[in-house]
Amino acid sequence: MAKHHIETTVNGDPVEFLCETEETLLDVLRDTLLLTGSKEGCASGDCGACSVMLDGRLVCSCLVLGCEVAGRKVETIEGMAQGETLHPLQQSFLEHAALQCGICTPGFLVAGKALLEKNPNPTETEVRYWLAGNLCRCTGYDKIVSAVMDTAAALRKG
Amino acid sequence: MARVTLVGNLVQIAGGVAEYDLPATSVKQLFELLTELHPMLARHLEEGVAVAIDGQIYQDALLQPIESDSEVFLLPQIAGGRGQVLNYDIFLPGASATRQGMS
Amino acid sequence: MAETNGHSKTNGQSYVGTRTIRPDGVDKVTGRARFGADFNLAGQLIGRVLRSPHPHARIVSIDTSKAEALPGVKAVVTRDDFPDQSSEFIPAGEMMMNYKDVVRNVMAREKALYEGHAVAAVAATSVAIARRALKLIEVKYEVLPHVIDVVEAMRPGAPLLHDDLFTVGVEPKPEKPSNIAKRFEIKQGDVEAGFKKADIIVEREFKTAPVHQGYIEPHAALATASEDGSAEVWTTTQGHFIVRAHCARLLGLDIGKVRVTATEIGGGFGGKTVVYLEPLAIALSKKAKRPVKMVMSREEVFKASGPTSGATVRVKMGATKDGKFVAGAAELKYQAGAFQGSPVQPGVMCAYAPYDIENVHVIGYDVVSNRPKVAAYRAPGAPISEYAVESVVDEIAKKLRLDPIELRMMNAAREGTKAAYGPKFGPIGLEETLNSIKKTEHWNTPLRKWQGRGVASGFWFNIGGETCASLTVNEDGTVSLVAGTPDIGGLRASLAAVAADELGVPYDKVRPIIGDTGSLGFNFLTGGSRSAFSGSMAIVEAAKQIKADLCARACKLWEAKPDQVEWKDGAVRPLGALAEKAKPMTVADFAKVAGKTGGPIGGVGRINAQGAGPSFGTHLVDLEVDPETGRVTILRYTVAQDAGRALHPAYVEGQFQGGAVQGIGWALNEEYIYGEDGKLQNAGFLDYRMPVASDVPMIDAILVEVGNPKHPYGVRGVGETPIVPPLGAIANAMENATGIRFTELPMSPPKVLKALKEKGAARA
Repeated sequence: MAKHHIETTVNGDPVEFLCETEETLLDVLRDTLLLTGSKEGCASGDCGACSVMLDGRLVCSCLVLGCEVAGRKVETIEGMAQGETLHPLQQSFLEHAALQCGICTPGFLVAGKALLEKNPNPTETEVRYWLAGNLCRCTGYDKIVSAVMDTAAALRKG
Repeated sequence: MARVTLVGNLVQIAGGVAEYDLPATSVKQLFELLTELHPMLARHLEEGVAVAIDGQIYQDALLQPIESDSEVFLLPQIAGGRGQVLNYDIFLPGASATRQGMS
Repeated sequence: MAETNGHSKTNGQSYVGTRTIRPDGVDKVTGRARFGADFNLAGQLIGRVLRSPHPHARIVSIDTSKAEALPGVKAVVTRDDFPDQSSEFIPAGEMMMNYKDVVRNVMAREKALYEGHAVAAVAATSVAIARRALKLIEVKYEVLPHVIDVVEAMRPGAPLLHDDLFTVGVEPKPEKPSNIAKRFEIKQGDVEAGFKKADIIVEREFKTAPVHQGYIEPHAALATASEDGSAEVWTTTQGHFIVRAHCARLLGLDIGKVRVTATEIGGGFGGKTVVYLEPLAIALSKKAKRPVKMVMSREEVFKASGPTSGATVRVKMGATKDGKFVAGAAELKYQAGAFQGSPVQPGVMCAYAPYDIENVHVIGYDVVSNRPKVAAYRAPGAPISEYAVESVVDEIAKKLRLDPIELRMMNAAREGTKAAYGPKFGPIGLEETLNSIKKTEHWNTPLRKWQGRGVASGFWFNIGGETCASLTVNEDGTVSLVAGTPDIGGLRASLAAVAADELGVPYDKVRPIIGDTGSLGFNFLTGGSRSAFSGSMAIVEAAKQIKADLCARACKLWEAKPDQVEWKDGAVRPLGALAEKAKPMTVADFAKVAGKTGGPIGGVGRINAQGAGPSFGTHLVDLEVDPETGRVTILRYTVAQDAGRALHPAYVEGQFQGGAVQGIGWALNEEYIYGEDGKLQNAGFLDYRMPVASDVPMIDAILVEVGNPKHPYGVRGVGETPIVPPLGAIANAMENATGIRFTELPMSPPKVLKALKEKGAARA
């Protein structure tokens, strides 16, 4: 069966690729586009390590097919920093030591950024429930939640 | 004389005797003296034991000194070491000969 | 006593003990950091493993001809490609493993011993072709009856996994093989006499299920083998020198010809201290003459990599009416999985370790059964045995109407206490952690109905081990640091801080990396709570060499004698009259004239770190039970643990918090669920339920620091102890909330609901 030819936008850049029907967006990002920042933890949408934004919506890229993103807007962890300036959430994670092994970190950052864009003043409970789709085994979530809450407060101050 | 106590299965291999007074001045010498008393111990000392000297646990520390009034315990290895069985013939010529017939 | 090591200050700034930004941090928050599956080589093939669908079966024949004939398939390997290994025990993480078993776990030989056991592997030009190739491999199995539960596996007449397994540690030696690999015991005093002295005796039996380390990153390896017997491997591992040793041994290669790079690692917790894919990838690459990349799926991780033991534990303790423990007995039965080597020995040794008890008798059994071979999981063996003991201690406290912290204080191990496994403790911090918990606002907050509070203590020995680390001063005065233990949680930040303080250079001028096996001498793996402890010791050693070298160079430059110069506060300083004609020189100053004064400046610490001090911890938890659903909500959690000296407080807190949450999962939800057919029913994150952010509150971390006199900075390993107390603390809180003593883990909603109903029915 012939591969699909897909044109889309990734992190603001026009991108085209070929993919099999059954290849997920995660497969395409990692193996074809060599954007390995999004990680595969489970391939079943349970761990959130593959989180990306699709047309401004937080999704697990392992649950999206490569050929579904034609003509749409994909944003991954690689596009989060602005040139040499880290996004405030990325900086906050470093300062709070909100990562230990770091494998879940891209997923949490994408999800955290999506939360703050939707709700600039979340409570701790709201942060925890929003991030419940991202598994972390190292940190126990404490410093991750602190980093997101402190970033929200800092961004509100302007 | 250092007071030496075997812990765990080493006691059975040493014929049920757990406690010893031995004039060992290093871990290496301690292993030699114990193997002379109980040749069956050699393989287990090779496979890995931890040695606690006056409360401090050492692993793979063959040259660690033992004082004349030290309290020493031989424990199962908690781990540490490169995973190569030492050829004890280097230290105990003839030791492998006594190991023939061991299960 | 440890020597003072002249901690330097750069402009008064000391980095050890501060919250520096980790040097590898930016790459991790931008997605740039490369983990195991992020590496690729031109021309690489994709490797996949064919796994047994049966929990126990004889492998009668394997026919790979059709798979080999499929276009795109470049290599197939089976048991025929791995020479058999003689029986030889080696340390694997913190347990012992036998090479004869290692080769059989990597690739099944006579039998498939668990569902998921590797039977063959292929390398093909695409994932799709590799999958198709697996389907074309014809394996004839003779299915055998299986056994999983440890008590069932111990029964005479249980299905036998190995007909050459005779129980070690029983007299007389058994004539018939069994599934009991080993019996191990420790004895102190006379428990029978002790129980006679007791005013109260509590005896209980407990049961725990196997749980997985749950690292988010699946195993991954990329290997390329050359015709001259050399191989290069990139793998996510806790010990690349161990991977090298295993692969060399299993494939008959020279150790020096195998070069292993440890990629960034996405969690391990002990589960990545053994090899699964690496030998397969090398063997396939050798045959295919191309690089081979292999990554496990999540299902494979659950089915084919080692979770920890499920166990049955019986505990009997005796105390006087004043609360003094007079006797402690226990019997531990641990699953080892398909091959011997469960952590029952450390479980036995840890069971009563926090307490000063005159009479102790603990017996442990290492039992094989048809599930994946156990791999180490954070303080292997201890969470299980200490869950049981801490539950009984709590019951004693309740029966004697004593405060649970006071009861533990009364019996706490201190410096000079003889541990149940023999040696006396040096300075330790158990009492300090108990006191810290007692003083918290948490401890003094009132509770409501259906809420409960529990406390428990725990410990881990911690280890040192062979470690090499190098420091090199570059021409511009920056310092390159090469360590040999994979950084699993912030190690590089701690080591850089130590190097910065030792050499008096700014923290951001120290660049740490984890070197491959070609860059350093042997390093034991990251585990045993050893990497910061041993690594910092090796860095201190390397720095000592540099300081001595710089002093020698200064003497030559200033035409001085050795007693006229000294290293102090980040520089070589002229003493006495010499100070009039010579100015102090820093590392950066010497860097400029390194070549002229003898050559490049550097040092290498090569040690077998001894002197690891145990770390004690006490956990306090408040929880609430929903009587309608059985759901347990953790309301509040506080950890107090002795770190000796925290090189980087944030990452030490992180270890406390992460371990506590793993313990919460183990206590409340996680378990391997097997069907009657011996197959794993919950091999995915949906049904193997690990805690998510909404399941837990903030975890308060109290850093206790009772310095370890054997370490130049007083460091104790901290990584493992945090997972030991939570099971007991949560079980005790459940009793406090419901009046029910849960003796089976996990205390998942269906079990809690059932117990509540039975209690209600009993009362009605």
